[in-house]
Amino acid sequence: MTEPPIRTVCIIGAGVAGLAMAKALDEIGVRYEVHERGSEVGGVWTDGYEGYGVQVPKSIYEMPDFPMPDSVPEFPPGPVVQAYLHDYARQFGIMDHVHLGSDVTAIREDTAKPGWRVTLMRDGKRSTRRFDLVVVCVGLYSNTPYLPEIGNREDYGGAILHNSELRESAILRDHRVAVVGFGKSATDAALLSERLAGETHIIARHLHWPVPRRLAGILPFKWGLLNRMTLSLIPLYKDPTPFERALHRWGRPLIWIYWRLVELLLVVQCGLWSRLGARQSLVPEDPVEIGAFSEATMVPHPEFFGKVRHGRIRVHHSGVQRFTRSGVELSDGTQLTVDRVVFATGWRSDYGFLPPDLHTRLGAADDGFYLYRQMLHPNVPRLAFVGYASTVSNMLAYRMQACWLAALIAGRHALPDADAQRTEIDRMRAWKRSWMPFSHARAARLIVHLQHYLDELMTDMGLDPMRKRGVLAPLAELVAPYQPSDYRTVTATGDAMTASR
Amino acid sequence: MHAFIWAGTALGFVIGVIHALAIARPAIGTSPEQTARIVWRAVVTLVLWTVFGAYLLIFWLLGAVVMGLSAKPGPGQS
Repeated sequence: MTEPPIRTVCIIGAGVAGLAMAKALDEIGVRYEVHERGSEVGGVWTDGYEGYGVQVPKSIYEMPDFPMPDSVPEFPPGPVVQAYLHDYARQFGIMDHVHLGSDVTAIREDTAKPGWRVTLMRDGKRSTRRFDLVVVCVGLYSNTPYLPEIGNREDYGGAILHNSELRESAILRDHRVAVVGFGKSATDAALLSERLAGETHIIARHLHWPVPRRLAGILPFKWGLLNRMTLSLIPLYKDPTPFERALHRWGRPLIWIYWRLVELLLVVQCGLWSRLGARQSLVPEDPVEIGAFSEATMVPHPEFFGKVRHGRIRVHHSGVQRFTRSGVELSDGTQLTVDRVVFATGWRSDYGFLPPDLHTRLGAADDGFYLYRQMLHPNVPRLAFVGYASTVSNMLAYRMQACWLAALIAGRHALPDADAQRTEIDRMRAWKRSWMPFSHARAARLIVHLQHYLDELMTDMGLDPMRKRGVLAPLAELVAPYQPSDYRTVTATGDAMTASR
Repeated sequence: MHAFIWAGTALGFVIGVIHALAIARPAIGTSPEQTARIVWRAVVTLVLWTVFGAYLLIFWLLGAVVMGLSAKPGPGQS
């Protein structure tokens, strides 16, 4: 990939991934431009529904090389995250390289020399520039809302909204509201509605295991979820060690009872056994160790399940069958009379600037496209993706991806040959499809397996994946949470803490 | 009860030895500092398995009984 040498890089998108990539390229001294179609840096954090924010604590959602200041709340609101990312770009001199309002409309391979010709649209003017490498940092989703196709829409007399349109509270005030979805944004929309509207329903086709901010009301969830002990108990990664394999075979009753106890804790703490809506309970069908990898792992606002228990928010475990004149009919036959239907059903992917044949070469399927180390495909040299990963700590994941890619460009590590990359991609695809629930972003989904992924990136870069230090390090490795601060010293040029070889 | 605790501890020790060896194997050929870190981790792992062996055996038995009685599917099962 790096022959001839890469001297110019185009980064598409100035969100978390784009800024992380820019900083990493700066560390190795490679020229780059960041093209962002929006008017500010920050990607998804530049805009959102009323009250949007981070669902995990800032100790998990921060750039490893730029800790969030103490003045930032533990669960930062969206505008605070955007300001933080703007500070990050300013602090490291990235803003000088960012072209705001510059929309990448197409890329095509340069036939004269390995690289890409990138078509840009800015202020109504079209231009084309050439780069040795293009790094796509637009994330998993575009700014095009995903609204499922539901029949009889034209019959409905009320308003149909996407949750991103909930910028002004007046839109829900004193109305009867149905929220469709059961992820973080759906529960946020339901809470907003509960404060303002006359009646609030939430329609959930699939129930998800909630992750409380504090387990048993005491322990921050990162202590229960993001350590290596828990990592050894979730479904095995694609290449487990012989000991992990043996543990999951001979120790299966132990692992099974552990997760049932976790489920019991969640059921009791969140009141999932309460009689709710048209169904008896909110206990999901999937075991927690599987369900945690479904479409929407959520850390709901602490008030959410209390409002549900008190009947302020009515949950319907069903789908929307069709619209009626006065509301919606659910799959279980329930008729809801509502005058606002809010879809909190996520966003569409948008890689429209990639030529159609590229989708084929990337092996795009219903569940996304599988890449080597979530970043590269041997069929398409000199095109990289940073930010095509869904994890518990995206800032950490994207910063480490950027360091790995920049270190590769700088020749600090090398790729295996194309066949070995394809074999690795095939193994990842087979592993995910063997157990991970289907979603359109399954190829990008890592969630808690982020730790295994980071271990791979560290090992590739010749760095020590075990990040804890001190006499108590073995215990800390087992039970202490892994978070961005553990990777503070890692850069594209190495690790100030230590190198394993 | 006494015998059960000894049996659990002995079992934990055996598993701990295997686990510790698995951890320590990559230490061969690394720097002295790295070797010391890995060996220390292996030692702590052995101690933890030994100390908690009896408790883990209780949960293993409990899991085996309840799992056998429950129809709830495990990971990877439909």
